[in-house]
Formats: sequence, C-alpha cells, structure tokens
Amino acid sequence: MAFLIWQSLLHRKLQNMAIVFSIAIGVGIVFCIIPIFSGVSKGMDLSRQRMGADIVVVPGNAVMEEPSLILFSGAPVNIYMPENITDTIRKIPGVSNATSQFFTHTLTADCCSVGDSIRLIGYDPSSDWIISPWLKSVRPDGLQSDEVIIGAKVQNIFGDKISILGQMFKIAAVLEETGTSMDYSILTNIDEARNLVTSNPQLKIALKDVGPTDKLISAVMVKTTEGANLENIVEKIQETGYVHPIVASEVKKHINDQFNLLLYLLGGTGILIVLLSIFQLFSRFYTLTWERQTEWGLYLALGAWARDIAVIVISEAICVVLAGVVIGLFAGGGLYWTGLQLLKAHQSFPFVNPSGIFFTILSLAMLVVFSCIGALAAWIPAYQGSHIEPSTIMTRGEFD
Amino acid sequence: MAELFELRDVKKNYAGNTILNGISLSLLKKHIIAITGDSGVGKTTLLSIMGLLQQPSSGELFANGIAVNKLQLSEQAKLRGKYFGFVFQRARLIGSLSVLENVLVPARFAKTEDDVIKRAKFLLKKFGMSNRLNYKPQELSVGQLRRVSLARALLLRPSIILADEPTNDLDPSLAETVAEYFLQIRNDGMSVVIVTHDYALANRADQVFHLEHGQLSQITHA
Repeated sequence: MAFLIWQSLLHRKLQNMAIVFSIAIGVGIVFCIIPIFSGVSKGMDLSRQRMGADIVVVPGNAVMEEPSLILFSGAPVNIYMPENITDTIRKIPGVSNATSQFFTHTLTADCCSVGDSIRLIGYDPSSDWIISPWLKSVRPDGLQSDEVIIGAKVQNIFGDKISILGQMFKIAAVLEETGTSMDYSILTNIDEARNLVTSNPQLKIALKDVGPTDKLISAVMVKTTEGANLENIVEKIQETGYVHPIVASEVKKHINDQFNLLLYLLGGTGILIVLLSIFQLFSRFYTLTWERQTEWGLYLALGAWARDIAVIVISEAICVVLAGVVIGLFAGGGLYWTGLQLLKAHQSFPFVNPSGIFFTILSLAMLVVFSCIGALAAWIPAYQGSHIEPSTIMTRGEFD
Repeated sequence: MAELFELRDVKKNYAGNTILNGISLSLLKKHIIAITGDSGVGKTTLLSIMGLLQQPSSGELFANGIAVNKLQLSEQAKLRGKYFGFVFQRARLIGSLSVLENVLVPARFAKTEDDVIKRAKFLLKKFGMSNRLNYKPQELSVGQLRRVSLARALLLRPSIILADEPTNDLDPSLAETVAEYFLQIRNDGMSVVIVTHDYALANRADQVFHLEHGQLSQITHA
C-alpha cells in the first residue's frame, strides 16, 4: 500500500509541492519565532534573577542612546566616575546595597582573543552580591590575583588560560548564563582590573585624562529594598552628582515590549500561514474525495477494505504535511540563526540560547502536532472515501 | 458439476424502480455465462451484485454454498479480492503506474504468499505484453489496455471472472482475440460471467441469458 501512496503523491507532484511549501513556510516562521521568544524570555528571567541590580548607575557623560548596550551587550565601554559615589548612593533610603564595578577591555590583538575586544569587569568582592555568592559555590577559596572568571558567551578562548593586556591569567570558572552583559565579559577583582590598566601603556595613555584609576569606578550596581519607590531613589541618585541611573526593569520592559510586538506579529503570521496550509490540505483532499471516487472504487473492487482507503487518504495527507514540516524545520533553523544575528546587530537584549534538547523537543513536537493536524484535515475525506460504493467503478467515468 | 456461485431471487430497486426482479442463476465451474440485453436494463447492476460491489435489495448470493451477501463488509472485500476477477467496460488502469504495477495492484491488498511478480510477468507474456512492462497506460492502445486489465483480473487466480462489455469499442479482430482469451481462461479452470451487447461474443459462451424487464431468460444452453 505504501507503494500506491508514494505513486499517488508523485503523480500529483505540483499540487502536493504547493501544499508542502506553504506548510514549510509557516512551520519555518513558527520554528524560528519560538526559540527566539524562548531565548528572550529566559534571558529576561535570568537577568532578573542573576544580575541582581535594580538600578545601574553610570557616569553622566556616558553615551546613553541605548542603555541596553551597557546592560546586555559585551561592547567595551570606557566610562569612569569617582569611587566615593558608591558610599553616597549606599546611604540613600531604600537602597539596600551598592557595589562598584570598573570597566576596561582587552585589546583586539591579544593572543587568545583575536576577534573583537572584550569588556573586562572588575568587581569589588567586599560589597559584591552578584558574583561572589556564586563564586563561593564553585570556588570556595575565592579568586586569586592571577585568575579570572569568563562569561558564558565569551568566545575565542583556548584552553584554561587567557592573555589579557599582555598578562596571562588562569580561567578559574565560566559564569553561568545571566542574560546580561556579564555573559560577554571577563570578570576579575576590581584592584586587578585597575592594575591591568595602569600597567598597560596603551590604556594608560587612553585613560590619562580621567585621573588615577585606583579612585575610579565605571558603574555602581544598586539593589533596592522590597517595595522601595524606584522613582524617588532615582531622583536621589541624580542629586548625588553627574551620574545617570538606569532602571534595569524599565529597560527590560522596553525590550520586552518591542520583542513581544515583533514576535507576536511574526508568530501570528506563521500560525496563519500554517492554518491556511491546513485548510488548503483539507480542501484538496475533500475535493479528491470526488475526483478519486473511481480510483478508490477500483481499489475496493480489487479487494481493498474500506479501512485501506482511509489509510491511503490519511497517509497521503500525513506524508505531505511531514515533508512540509521537515523542510520547514530546516528552513526555520536557518531563519532562526540569520534572524538572531540580524537582531543582535541592531539591538542589545538579554538572550539565552535554547539548548539542543529544546530544539529536539520542539522539532518532535511540531512533527507530531502537524501530523495530527494533517490527519485531522484528511479525516472527513478519508471517512467519505472509505464509505463510497465499490460499484462506483462500474458507473463512473474514467479517472486520472 | 459443482455450483460455484448462485443467485436466489435477487431483487434490486432504485428510487422506486425495480431494476432486477427476482433473478436466480447458477454458475458452474469452468463455465462461461453470457448475459445480453439492451442498454440500461440492469446488466451492469446484476454483474456488480454478483461481484459483491453492491448489495441486492433482497435475495441471496451463495459462493461455494456460503451466503456471501450476509457476510460483514470487510469479509466481502476479502472475498471480492480473492474469489472474483473484474474486467471493466473501460480498462480502468491507474495512470501513475506502469503496466506491471497495474497488474500487481490486487496483490497490494491481498495478503498472499505467491510470487505475484512472476505470475504478473507470466500473464503479461501470455497476453503479448511482455515488451510493455514499464509502459504507462497512456502509452498503450485500447486493445493493449484491455489485455492488461485481463492480466490484472487473473493475477490472484480468482474462481470467477466478471466481465462488463469486454469487447465494447474494439474492432472485430480484437474482439475475437478477447473472446479467445476468455475461452483460454475457462480452459485454465475458471468460470466467466460476461455482460455484453456483442452477440458474437455471447454465442461463444456455454449459456446465454437475456435480461429484460428485470427478468432473466435463458436463450441457449451448452
């Protein structure tokens, strides 16, 4: 019977191909959108859970066209302000903790980071609540002066050592994904980060106008108390000097809104295309019930059971749907990768790559769901086809 | 001689009209029966009832003593595939399949251990089609199509061949060839029921019946 099904599909190549491709386009869009949606959502959740800062305070002269660059990208940002601002912020009512971070970056010509330069973040172990607790669980003895932690998405690292600004460092640990800029950064002790800058002639020249680095910081990570009024705190922070507070939740909300709109539009289009394809499949098979009555009557006359006819109809529909889904999955994979690169090129956003298991489950789920939908679309035609009178073969005209 | 198939008081009504009105008929082994009659008198209906392609309004059908029209539809389908071979008015070959594949279609639905490919090739050779195995139906002449459909009907060694106007549209020489094939089939041990307008063909049968006003009357007996 498989042979008859296959031959019938081949015989109606063009009609079948049209349905296969429309299903493939819909599935491709849906398969592209779901992982992006999942990656952004997970990134948002993780950044909320792991970044731990409600407000990030940066110098007022920092270019702030896109605050998400500081929060979610690994792009180097050389911005500095006096260290004592951290103590002032700590005293503001509603602030439960504040810790300083010092930013610099690797040089593109470094031996083990041949690509773009990477942001280097120096954190203050005495007040930090973001990296230190996690580090304690993976390295109870703490970070040594010749060690660094690297973010989960730092690339071009070979082996367990890394050269930063001409000095060799051991990679103590790889940070779990946070959905923030830390994923693309190298982290070290704040004093070590400052030492690196002062001992590097190129950076020393670049930073000569900002003063002695041992009294500078790049950002203050602020944690607020439960239920604190963020607006009031932001106002108080602004009063402390020429600084710019970034409310992380607002940036995230803004990104979330942008993505939701985009993903709902694209996802909706994809689902609409899939539904149209299924409707097309249903109408084609429904029409076939009439067109192929004589053929199925012949099968019945030659010994086929009514059940055989139903199997033929449903199998043909499932084959068409499966071909569309498989092509759609590959196309969707390509679309996902390309789309993600394009989005990343134009927007910094928290993103956690979905795992291989996620893609496997999603692929299998789409195969199963669409096969079931295909079978359902062919159900009525199959039922009608299996209930035609075998004598049709005697009374109807020729068939194709 | 043993009765292979029997119709007892078979009636068929369509939309208030009586098409068949109490038909009784016995088919013996290795016999050819011809049923003649004008167009529209119900010859094809009678043939399709005999072949279990449709149910009679009343009456009984027996195959080897078993009341087959009382069987479940799935059982009837099974019996139809193995017990009957059909030769339709038109060849009814599937356009997407080759000659050989068309002949093999009945085997796709019957669970048979036989070497059906060997038998299909044998039958096609017998009907002079061995050099056309991979041709598609649209590449064949009317006579060749008829021969392929005959080979298909014989593939599973059915007990009875039911032929509906097998010489319709054929020129006299080809019609004669087809008639010869039916005689060969009988000689191979099968029985044949032919519905036809073609009296030349009917006269080659062992028994000839005429269908008129829903009743069957015997014209000749061998």
